[in-house]
Amino acid sequence: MIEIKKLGKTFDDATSKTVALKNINLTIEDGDIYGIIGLSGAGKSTLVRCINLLEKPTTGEILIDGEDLCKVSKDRLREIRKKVAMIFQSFNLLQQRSVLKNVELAGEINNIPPEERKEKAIKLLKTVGLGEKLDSYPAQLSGGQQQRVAIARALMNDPKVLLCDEATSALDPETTRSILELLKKLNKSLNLTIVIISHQMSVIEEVCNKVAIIDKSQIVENGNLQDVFLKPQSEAAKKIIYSGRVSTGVKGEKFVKLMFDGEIQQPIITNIIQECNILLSIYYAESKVIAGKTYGQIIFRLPYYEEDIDKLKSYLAKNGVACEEVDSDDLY
Amino acid sequence: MTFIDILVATGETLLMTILSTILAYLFGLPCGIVLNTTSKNGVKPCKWLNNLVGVVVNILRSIPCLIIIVLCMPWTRAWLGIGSGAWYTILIPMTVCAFGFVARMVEQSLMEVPAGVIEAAKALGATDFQIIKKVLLPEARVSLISGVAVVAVSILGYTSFAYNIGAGGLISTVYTYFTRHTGDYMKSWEFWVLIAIIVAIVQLIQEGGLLLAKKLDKRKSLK
Repeated sequence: MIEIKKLGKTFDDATSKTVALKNINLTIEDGDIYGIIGLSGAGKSTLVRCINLLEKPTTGEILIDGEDLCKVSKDRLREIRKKVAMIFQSFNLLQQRSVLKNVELAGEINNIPPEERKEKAIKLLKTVGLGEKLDSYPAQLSGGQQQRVAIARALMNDPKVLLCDEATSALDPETTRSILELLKKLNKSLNLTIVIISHQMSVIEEVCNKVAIIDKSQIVENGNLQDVFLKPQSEAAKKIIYSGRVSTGVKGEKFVKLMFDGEIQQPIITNIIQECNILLSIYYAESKVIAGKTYGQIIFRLPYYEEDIDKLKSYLAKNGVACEEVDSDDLY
Repeated sequence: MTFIDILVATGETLLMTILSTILAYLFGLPCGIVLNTTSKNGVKPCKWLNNLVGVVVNILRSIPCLIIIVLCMPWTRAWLGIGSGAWYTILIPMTVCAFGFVARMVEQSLMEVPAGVIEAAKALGATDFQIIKKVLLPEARVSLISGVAVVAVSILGYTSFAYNIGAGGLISTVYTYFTRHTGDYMKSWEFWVLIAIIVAIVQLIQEGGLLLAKKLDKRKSLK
């Protein structure tokens, strides 16, 4: 379990002070795939780098299984780092070492005997689907393959936690998906706790069970993925979740947002039109799969006449469809 | 001038250059590693040590080589029996002259290793020593080897000072032999043979170094 308590980080320069993190509190349970999402410059990368103390926090505590990383000795910190592995946006493989030797590096650092570490490295490379590329060099591999090597290297010392710092941001959507699938598989088979930092909604949606939204150095919202993503409370969260998605192009109008989950079997829109006898113009609709369930939202303009609005509301209440009235200005 | 004279001079130059380069690296490489690793963004920042080594290297680099040769004479005499007059008497001053240069070359090469790779090793729990041995030096090897070629060629140039202490070698031979025959030395074949040998040695070091570096570089796709 990782507990982050009152974490703060300020970068001190000779000329200026930059606050990167302010009062961060977060608990990551064993086996979680925890997503941390935020816009560029929000501090998410600094946060994940604090978890293995690549960045030294200015204030607060980082507890891993109850042990405060800021207080342990250097030797102990190195031991802990072997159990808290990390992968990066730029893969950070050694260019002058073969794929196999790159993975073995982690074993060399941990003083695993040569035969044993070679065997283990080969096994891990097979796990990540690169059993054929042992003697290739990183420059010969695609981005996705390089990240797989980095994952194999990270798994070499049997870590309990894997930190992913924008690990898929340099990859195309298809490759991103395959890397995320791999992470999901490792989470299940090894009970590996995974922390994913990303600015991409799709990445978090695809694999995480919990999410924290970070904005202007602070965590504005966190919790189960569906709770946060379907009903974001804070302005910052809404901005991130709906950014670039909903754009009605009208101002000062009232809209209705319907939210439904996979439980609803009936054709809602058709039923509204037929049963309430009102016409709807849909401005936005989407559906997505979160944690195996389908969720969706539809946004349409609020009917003009009072009686139509009443009919609509009572119909929705009767059928248990969640809805809310929104201003066009509130849509992002 | 006989064929033997030319052979001896070539041997002296090669010995001076190769041994001085090795000695300069013996001291310069650790200094370069210290300069890189103790710098502000290094593996183990340490301001006072970085400043200390930096200042020593700068001072040594700013004293002209000829002065260093004079300054080193007492030590050379104490350690090797004679202070001048044999090819090996130039080794100590040459090492002192060149190791600061080597330190800066090494520092520069190590800077080319991306910070992310070092960070990855840190995240794996590597000690500072492991990072230097397993990441910094191997990853910088291409640049380090081409650096050796540059240093060796410079040291070959420095061997012209051998003339001043009678340490021999190709360059002093050219100088001593032909300053006596003013006028038409441009027409003597020995002059051009000596020049050709010097050019050939420089070519050999430079191209050989680059070839080796290229061969060891795994960054380029081998497909």
